[in-house]
Amino acid sequence: MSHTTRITRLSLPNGLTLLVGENHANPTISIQGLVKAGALYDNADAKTPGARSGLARFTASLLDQGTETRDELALASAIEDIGASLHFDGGAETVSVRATMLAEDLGAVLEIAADALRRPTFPDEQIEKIRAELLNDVRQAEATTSSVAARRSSELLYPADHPLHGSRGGTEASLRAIGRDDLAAFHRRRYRPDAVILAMVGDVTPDQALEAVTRAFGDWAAPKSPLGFEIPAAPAPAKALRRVVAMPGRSQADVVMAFPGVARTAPDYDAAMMMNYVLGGGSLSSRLMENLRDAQGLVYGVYSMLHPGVGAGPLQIRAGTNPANAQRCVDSILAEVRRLHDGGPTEEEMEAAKGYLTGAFPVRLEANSGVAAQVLSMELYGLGADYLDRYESLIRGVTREAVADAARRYLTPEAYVLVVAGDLPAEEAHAL
Amino acid sequence: MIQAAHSPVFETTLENGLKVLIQEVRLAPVVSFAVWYRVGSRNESAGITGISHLLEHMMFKGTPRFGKGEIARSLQRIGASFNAGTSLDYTCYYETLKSDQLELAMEIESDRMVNASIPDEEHRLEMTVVRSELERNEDNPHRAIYQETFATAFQAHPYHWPTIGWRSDVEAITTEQIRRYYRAHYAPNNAIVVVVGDIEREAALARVKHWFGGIPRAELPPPVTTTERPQQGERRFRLRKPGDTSLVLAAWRNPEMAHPDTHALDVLGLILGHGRTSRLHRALVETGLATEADAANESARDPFLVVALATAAPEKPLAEVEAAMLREVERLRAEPVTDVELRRAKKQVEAGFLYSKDSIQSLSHQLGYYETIASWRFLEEYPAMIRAVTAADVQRVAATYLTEDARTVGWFDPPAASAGEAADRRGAAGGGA
Repeated sequence: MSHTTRITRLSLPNGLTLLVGENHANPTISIQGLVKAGALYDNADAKTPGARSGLARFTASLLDQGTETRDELALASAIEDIGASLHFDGGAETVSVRATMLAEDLGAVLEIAADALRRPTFPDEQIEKIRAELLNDVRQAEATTSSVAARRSSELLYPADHPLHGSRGGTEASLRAIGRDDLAAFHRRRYRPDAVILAMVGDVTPDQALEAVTRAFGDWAAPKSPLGFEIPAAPAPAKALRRVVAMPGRSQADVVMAFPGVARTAPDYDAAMMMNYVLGGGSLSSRLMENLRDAQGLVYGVYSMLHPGVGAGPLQIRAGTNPANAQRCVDSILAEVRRLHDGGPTEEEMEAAKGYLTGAFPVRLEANSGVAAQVLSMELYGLGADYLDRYESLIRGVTREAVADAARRYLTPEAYVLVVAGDLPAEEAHAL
Repeated sequence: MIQAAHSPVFETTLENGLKVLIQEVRLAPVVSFAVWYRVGSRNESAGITGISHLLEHMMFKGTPRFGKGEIARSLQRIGASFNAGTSLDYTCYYETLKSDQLELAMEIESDRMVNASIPDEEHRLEMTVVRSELERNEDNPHRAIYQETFATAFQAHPYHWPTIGWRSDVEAITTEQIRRYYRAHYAPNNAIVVVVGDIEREAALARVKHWFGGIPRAELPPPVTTTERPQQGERRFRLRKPGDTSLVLAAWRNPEMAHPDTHALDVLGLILGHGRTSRLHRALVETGLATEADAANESARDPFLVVALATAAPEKPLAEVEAAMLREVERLRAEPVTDVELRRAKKQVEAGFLYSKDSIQSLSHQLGYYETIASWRFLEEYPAMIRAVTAADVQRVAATYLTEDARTVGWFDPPAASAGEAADRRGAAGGGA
């Protein structure tokens, strides 16, 4: 972590939470924030499951497309004129808010951000523009083997009425059905000060930050109703569910194997994360890479990933392969899943994982934006104000047995979801 | 309240010709170490296009000291962030890691400066990876239109071919050719070492001398001397490849980065095509002709290109998109830009310059990049030079460089019948990225 960063936690009377990290080395500020208004609420008021998929992302995309006092171009100019950046992105659980600015422009950027978050007007013309973009995203995703495999796997893994069923991007049908009233109502209900956390790191003092945030957000009244921000656990699949999605003409086939994953707040999160690292979490020498890529030359890349949030997002293993090798690829992935499930990691793998995690942590925090992102997740998941200081000993303290336990719990070789999307030869498709 | 977290850049050259740049930056207990070689696709020739990039891949295959897979494994074991990149003018390798691990980065980079094994078997295996990169390139409309633009705008100069190389060359290059190319270009007197971060200058320099000082200088191949003749007439192309987007690109030849006109051209690029307030965005996107429109002055070691690119909106005739784009360029030649535009562009440059100082990794990258292409001092003087640019300067460089005769105009115009298939191909290509 930074030599110079000290974190101060503050909150406004209306419930907005503010975290400030001081780093006066350079006259810039990075903000990473969130609104608890992500896709998990998409269908909270829908008549049938999935009917309003994509609503949260659609709403977030319109925040900077017109407010009560500025049209889309005025909003863009206000930010670009001062060389700043401000982005909103609708995710599965939250809407992210990211901004960079010179320290002298903090007040201006917060005022524009507050305008966008509090007073969007959802102009019809902009709704249609964003709808076209989102539909285009869906069409491209549906034409891409890796996205198709991932989407289908989440649909199989989570029941139709579960918030993680399907995709935050929505479907053609749901995107076409969403109207201005849906967007305005979603905004009215879900955008509220007690759903907002802002982490800012840079050339700013806590007093300056509090004053600027109060000016921009202080008179935003919080509703009395409880916020409600949770995702129920999904039932684990009882057996192996396999699907092949035929996509003619594709040169590559994509494999996604998925298991119910782990929430960021779970007590065994660190052990699960290390299990994932050993299996295929980004290292070139992970078990999956060494077997499928280096030993067999089956794939260019193969990865496993967790999607830990307030809810237990899926544990996915993803690989792109030549369609003729799809079955071998699946068999090899499954063999590695079984091996880690049965035997756990070696002591050597534990050491490699700990070395990686403790070494990469300060590298990830080398810039203000990295510190802000870390501080934001510490607040969201209640990791504690001393998490930055505790991180290394937390990781060093995870035992081989704890990771072996996590592997037995999460990597179930008899119960999983498997989707292969691509132009598979008949015998390959049949064998799967 | 700025504290002196950033020391001035220290520059020296070792006896073997190795250029060393060191900057102490006390932001985090992290250091970024990089080696930049002054070799890229610019140094290639017919038959071996793509060899710089191929060599970059082979540099991860080990040395007698670091066996197969050991370079990546040893760096991953300490959580280093590391990678490499090849471009027109350079090949770079970097490690960003905890400052108490700097020694390992130096050990690896000094070792593979001269001892890379480049085994034949690894070359054969790596071709799968390189082929997959080639395929992704071929299937990507943006890459395709850029590739065609370079091949059209440059006839004599090596910027003619893509950094990844022509496929038939990449397939035919032998391991022995890669080894020869490596021995010819990888030497201390053709390299720059950049150390930025939580280090003490004298100590860092002593370690650089320890690891690199004993490597002998090499006799380098003769410098690239080919210059492109002035272009005397517009060049056009129309790419009829399957794809799911239609693109219009216009490019004009610019001077080399070290040229005094670069700053005015950079400002011109920002006003023409950076962000939603830019002229192209207003003229093309706001009007519904295009879904995206950007422009930038792309500078390199030798004269390269100012590029404007638009993604046509569905059903919009490409001729109409092109006409609107060229109208905006004509306007830059005909009348001065406004004070508001000039002020905005300058503030963007100023802010961007300060943002990059937030990150040790990005500072290190910029130092190496500018030193390879022009000089690291270019970076330091950049904000002041940009502040000095006037509306008259912008109009002058527009009139000088953005002429009809010196431009290349290209369309990526997929055959209508193939639109469905095209979407499929793009989808498949995007999946592996």
